[in-house]
Amino acid sequence: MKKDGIIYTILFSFTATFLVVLILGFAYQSTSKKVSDHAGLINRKVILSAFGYEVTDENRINQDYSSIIKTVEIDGIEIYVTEKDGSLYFGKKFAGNGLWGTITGVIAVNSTADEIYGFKILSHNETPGLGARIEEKWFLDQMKNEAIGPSGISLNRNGSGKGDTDKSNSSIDAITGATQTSVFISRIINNEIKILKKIAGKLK
Amino acid sequence: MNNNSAFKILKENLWWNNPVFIQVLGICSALAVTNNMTNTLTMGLGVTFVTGFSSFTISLIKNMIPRKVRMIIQTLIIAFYVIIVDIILKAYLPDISKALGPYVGLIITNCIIMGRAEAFAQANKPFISLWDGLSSGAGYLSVLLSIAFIRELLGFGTLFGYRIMPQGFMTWTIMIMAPSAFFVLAVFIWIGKTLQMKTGDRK
Repeated sequence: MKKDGIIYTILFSFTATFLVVLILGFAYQSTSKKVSDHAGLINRKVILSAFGYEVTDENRINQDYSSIIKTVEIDGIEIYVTEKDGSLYFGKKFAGNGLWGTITGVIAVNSTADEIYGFKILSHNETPGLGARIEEKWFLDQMKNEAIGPSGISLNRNGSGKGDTDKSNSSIDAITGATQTSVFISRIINNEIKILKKIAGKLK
Repeated sequence: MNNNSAFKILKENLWWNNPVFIQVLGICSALAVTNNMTNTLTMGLGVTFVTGFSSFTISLIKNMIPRKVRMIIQTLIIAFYVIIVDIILKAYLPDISKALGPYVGLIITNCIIMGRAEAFAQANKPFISLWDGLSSGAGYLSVLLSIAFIRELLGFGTLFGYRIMPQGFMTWTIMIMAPSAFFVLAVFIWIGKTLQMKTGDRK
């Protein structure tokens, strides 16, 4: 067979592609369970932390999750419910626009949805060092126990940049140098609050 | 391969013909991942692995590849190794995989790999090609780590995530953003070129 002939070329390309795809398919198959297990673990860890349970031991996450969090479906939305010190808290996963891509995470509120109980980020594509600071503790802690006003949560662009500690003013500070990302976050929160308020009425 | 030529290739790829600051290849990723040492190291090791093994494979089958589809087959082999790296990172280092995001997949488009395949592996024996690929990757890695060192230290005040600068240190936000990589890289090219001109030719 001629090396530069059309038949050899087609046969060679086909065989090479076939072999490569075969090996990759096998590699993907053999690791896919590990990948999805890990994704599930991170998922449950973030849900727990939105409800105020910081689990650091990875082996305990699944066990703690099933004993603490109950999942119900209301209006086709998956709602996570937990009881702490006699009060009910519930929350849901969210996905909303960020500056560069989708921001996903978990938001939890009290049973009447007039106070945010916890707000945690699962994934985002914001600028490292600027928008990516939405993952920092000081920023997320602003949402914890923040009262929800009639128009939801407002964003303070002229804050100290170190976080708003007043829990009753329904306001959070923007991140210095990442105002846009902060605006998107406050928009996400307000959208989610609307949904959660509707659900609060249907929650037993 | 004899040790003499192996050493020469190493010197060539690390210094005299460094893929980043002399050939100015792989700049896209040099700008994108260098604001953090950990990501840079992983990315650099990924590129080194892919360059080495794709050069090796291409050299191994170079006499079987039909001339017309040479570049397509090269790309296929490079893509194969890149996806292997991606799968390994996803399964065993999920945090780093998340941080690098799309850049792992973009290793495929890194000109250094194709460059080595075309310029070296196509005409040389497998093991010396492997060495050429690995040392080219090391040349890339060393420059990126130097850039990341400056950017992470000034931009976050940390190295590999550990705080180095004192608590009150005012971080340079510009160092975290892509433009600073242009400045730092340009300074590197300047220093490298000047040193090379001062020390004379490569013999």
